Amino acid sequence: MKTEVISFKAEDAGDVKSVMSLGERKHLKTEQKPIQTFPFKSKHKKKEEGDRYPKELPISDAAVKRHDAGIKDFDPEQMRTQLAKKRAEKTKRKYEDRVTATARAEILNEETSGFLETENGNLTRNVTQREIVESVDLASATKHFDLHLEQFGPYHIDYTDNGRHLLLGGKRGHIAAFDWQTKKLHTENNVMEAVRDVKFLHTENMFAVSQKNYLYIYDNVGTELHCLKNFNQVLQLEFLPKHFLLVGSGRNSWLHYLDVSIGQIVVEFPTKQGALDVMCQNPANAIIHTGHSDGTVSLWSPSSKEPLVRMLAHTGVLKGIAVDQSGTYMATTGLDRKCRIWDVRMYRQLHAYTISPLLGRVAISDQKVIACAVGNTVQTFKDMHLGVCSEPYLVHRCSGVISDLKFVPFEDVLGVGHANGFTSLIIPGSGEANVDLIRANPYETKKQRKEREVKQLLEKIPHDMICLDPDEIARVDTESLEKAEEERKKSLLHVNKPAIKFTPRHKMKGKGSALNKARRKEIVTQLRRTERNEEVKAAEKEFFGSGDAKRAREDDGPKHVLDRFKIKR
Amino acid sequence: MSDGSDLDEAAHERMLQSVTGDVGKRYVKRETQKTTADDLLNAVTTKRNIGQTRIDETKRKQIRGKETLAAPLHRIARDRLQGAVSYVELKKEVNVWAPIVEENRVSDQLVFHEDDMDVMKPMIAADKTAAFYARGPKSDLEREMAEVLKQSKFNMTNDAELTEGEKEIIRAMDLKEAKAKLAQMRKMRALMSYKQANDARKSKIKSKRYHRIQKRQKRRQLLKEFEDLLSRDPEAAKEKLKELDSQRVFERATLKHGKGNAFNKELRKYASKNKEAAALLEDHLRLGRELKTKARDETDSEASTSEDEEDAGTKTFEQILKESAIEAAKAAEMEPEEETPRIQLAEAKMTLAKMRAQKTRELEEAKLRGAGKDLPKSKIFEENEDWEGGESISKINESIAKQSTVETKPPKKKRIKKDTTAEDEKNDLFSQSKHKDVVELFDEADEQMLELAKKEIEREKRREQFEKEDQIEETTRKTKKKSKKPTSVVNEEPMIDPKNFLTLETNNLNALPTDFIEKMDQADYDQSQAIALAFADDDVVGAFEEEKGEIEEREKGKDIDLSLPGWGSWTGNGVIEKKPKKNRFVIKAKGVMRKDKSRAGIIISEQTTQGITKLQPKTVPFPYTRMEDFEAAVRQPIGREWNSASAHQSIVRQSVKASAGRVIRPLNKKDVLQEEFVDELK
Repeated sequence: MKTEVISFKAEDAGDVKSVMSLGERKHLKTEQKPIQTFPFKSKHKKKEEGDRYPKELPISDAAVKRHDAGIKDFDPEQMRTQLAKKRAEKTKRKYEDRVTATARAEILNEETSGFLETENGNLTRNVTQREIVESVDLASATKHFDLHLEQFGPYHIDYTDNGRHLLLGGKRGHIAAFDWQTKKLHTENNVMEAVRDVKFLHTENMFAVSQKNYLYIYDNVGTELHCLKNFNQVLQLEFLPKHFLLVGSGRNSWLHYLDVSIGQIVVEFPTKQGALDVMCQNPANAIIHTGHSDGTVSLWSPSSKEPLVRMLAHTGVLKGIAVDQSGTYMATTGLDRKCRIWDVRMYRQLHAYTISPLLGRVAISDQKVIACAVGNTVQTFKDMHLGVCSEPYLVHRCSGVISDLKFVPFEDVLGVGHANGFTSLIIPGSGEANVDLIRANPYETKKQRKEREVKQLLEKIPHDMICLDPDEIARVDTESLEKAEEERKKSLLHVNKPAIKFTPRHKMKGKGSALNKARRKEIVTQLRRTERNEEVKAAEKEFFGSGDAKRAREDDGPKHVLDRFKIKR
Repeated sequence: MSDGSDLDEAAHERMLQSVTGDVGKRYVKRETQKTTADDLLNAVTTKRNIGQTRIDETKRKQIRGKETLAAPLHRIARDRLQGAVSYVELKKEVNVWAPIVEENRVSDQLVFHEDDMDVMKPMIAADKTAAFYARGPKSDLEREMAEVLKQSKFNMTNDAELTEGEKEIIRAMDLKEAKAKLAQMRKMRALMSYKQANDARKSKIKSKRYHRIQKRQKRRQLLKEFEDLLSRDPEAAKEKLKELDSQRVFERATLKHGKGNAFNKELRKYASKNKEAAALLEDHLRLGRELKTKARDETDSEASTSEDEEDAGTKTFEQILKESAIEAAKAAEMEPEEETPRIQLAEAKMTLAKMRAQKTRELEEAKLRGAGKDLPKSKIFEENEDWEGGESISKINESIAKQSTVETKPPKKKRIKKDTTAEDEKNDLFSQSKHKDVVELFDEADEQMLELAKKEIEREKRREQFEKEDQIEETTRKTKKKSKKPTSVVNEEPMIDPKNFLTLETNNLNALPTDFIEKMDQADYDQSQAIALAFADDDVVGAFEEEKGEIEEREKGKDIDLSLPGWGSWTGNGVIEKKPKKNRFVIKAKGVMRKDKSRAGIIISEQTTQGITKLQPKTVPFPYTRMEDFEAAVRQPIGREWNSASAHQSIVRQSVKASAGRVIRPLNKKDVLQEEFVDELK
């Protein structure tokens, strides 16, 4: 019989005690020997086992971090029973797999986003819309258009969540809803009254119009569905799609929350901050931000009649406010010529830029492009949130003073409402390139819309759950528990002692004599009394401090005859 | 019937017989044979068993007389015994099921009526084709199609892994070629995976020591390469040196290393005790801060004053740094050449080496003294071996960088203000540097080395001075026995007055040409400018802080007064009310640290919103023992919006899967248990 002999030298093997496989020897040979090796290396060296050719591509740590919700804090060993431990282990594994699977699925986001770039030192801000339109494809070129509506004055605009439909509301009563991509008109009407703001509700089939006195709701063919007289002289409208809440900010400083799914006003209260003509929502936590004439920004939720947070943002009047889709950045513009970028999670100012005293409205796109209205021009800026912005990205001059600005979700388009109509601008790179069809579907069919409406209603979040930190709901409320405990302790000091009632259990023959019963009762009562006394003592010590309490008790106690000669403190 | 009647008995008998037929027969008594005692005795023929029966009888009598049978067990005891026995039996029987039960309890999905589920499974393609063939073609068209299909070489069957066509393709391939290809691919993959694994392992190492060694190796490698290059292609080497220098200068100029450099570190050691050192350190930090902030300010002012110089303003901070770094490197090259300072260099080296030797000697002496040993004879001075080429070059680079950090400003200023002249200079520099040869390069290196050595000496001296001063101070302190706080606290962060946050500015934007804004708006523009100016002087921050104070006051907790009315409040003439006595019964509200404390321009309400607390869990539910675990588990997103489709499905999988309206039968032993268990159970 023939036996195979593998021979190799000692230096090939190194410190490894066991015989190495052929593959590992190769590995040693291919790698150049460093001049000086790290001394611990050989100790830590592990034998590679299993499949050398990984079946799955490695995922980047950044992608994993993006999807991780902190599952590593979950320790199955801490469960109460063995069975629960095993179950928890399984659950944990599932959640860990979830993170990697979702991170891996990012490979499907194949659209890449990019900004306009110029050659030979030309500035992007000199590129006109016409030049852009000439160089893009036909379908994209149609996204730039101008509507000349001089008679009906400054326009307010709104897009649906999927960015497909556009609503226009002219100050002099003109309202129009249409699919802006196909330019198919749904309805057009003149309400013969001043229009202050317009807003789509959860679908394109219903929209709210704040008119001279009241708020009206119309459907897609222009039929008046409701007239809400509580919404008196509303200046700005917001819609919270997850909560089905329509929010109106009044000229009389009132804030109204209307649940459109049940048609009831959830809450309305005066903010006492003057006319609320600057308002926006934080899409991440449904908090309403209002800007005031004293340069402050207030954050509101329907569960509190006081502002949750007040920030001093500008030294002058606040003109515009916008929060980005992720709820991280807030942009504000003010009369002090500044545009400021804030971290809304920390309420800290990140950057400030001086632009112009004519600064008006502001808007943030999915890719954090910031558009500012300056008189009749729109100036867009990229990377403003990173602090590296030094000049406008694109600039466009409209025919009238700008009254409203909105970026279209999932599109590189900015809608501008101004005194002489409406302009749709192409801002390359501003929109999210990969459409999240589960979040909002721009290609929604009628059936899908109906389906979505029902689903959205079923998943409606109660308005009580609106708070600054959306993760709050997943936390155990230790604060109120502590508070209750403290209240209980405090009450020990000033509430009468409760009577101790104890009826001894009836025992069987021979053990339940009256004497025994009485004895047992005595013991238990005594125990309870001492327990309470101990608690009272502890509370006294906690709240009054040991010295004071002691002295207080001394004063109350029986006095000795000779105490009168003591020196009084 | 009377006795007296003359009854013919015979006639009567006949009559009866005629009526009843053969009744008479019944009454006929048969004569039976009678057994007598003799008969019985005669029946016994043998005498074999007679004696035995008699003995048994006697025995029985004896036993009965002495003891009785054991009484049956008491019912409870008997039950207990039976229970113990049957427990063992039953346990054995039930334990067989334990692993299955556990598995089912732990599993996240239980599937009943699995056979039904099979029916629901989609057919695989091979099955479908098989079914189609089994059914057979029906119409003419189908028949024709079937014939065509049958001819195909790519028909899949359940039996074979590969179709006929595929096999043919494989056969057609050259075996050798294929093997070679395969081998090569395998090798490539293996190499790649080794490299990957190696890289992954290396990237995980955190040890500072390792990285230090690694860095040193790299540096040496670089030097070696550089030397090689020098011998092969001096021009390229020069370029390389320049590039390296500019890299290093740029690195130093980014001001990343302001606080962490060796000099500052050392200074910090003394700063707490020595005022001068503290002042110096403070100075350094301030300088660093100024460098950081001024770079921006300058670009701002430039941009605002002169609009024609647009490109200066468009440069980012980093670009400016980079340029200045390059320039500084060049400036270092261009320094006026003195006489070759080789002798000076040697001297400096010697002095430095001496100082070092002195230092080490002192240290060792101190150690020995500490150990209570006698001092050895003073050591003979030795040449220090530290001065290797590799280190020296790196140090030169560092020194260049240090210069550049200080000098970043002036060259940049010059550049921006006199654009054209700077350009000319640049050209000159380039032309000159091109003409330089390697000898010059080395001379320069020597020069750098000398400077470095000088600096080192200075530093040593300074350190000594500090140490002396420290000692003096220590002694004075000891005599006075006075504890003093360190005079200066090292400020790590640049100081910004929090109240001035509204005046801060990130980056001045380049203003658009004025003609861009329409003439029509000019009036508006002026007006709003005027308004902005009017508001500018308002003390907005002060007003806001005032409001904040009010809110803080309002949200403070309330004290509870436990004193009862009448307590300690005697009335009458000459009675003075004693406040402190009453204060004893006041529970002071707990002071809560506000979230917006020490933050200007923000008020965060401390009132908890009732809405969310109502919905929050108050305690941790059953299997959890810690809050962290529970919160981590609840925090995980499970919806479609945040997960890939498969992950979502696996998370929300139903726990029990069964078809409706069907009985769920108990587990079948044969199906679930392994055979030996089944046998055991039998």
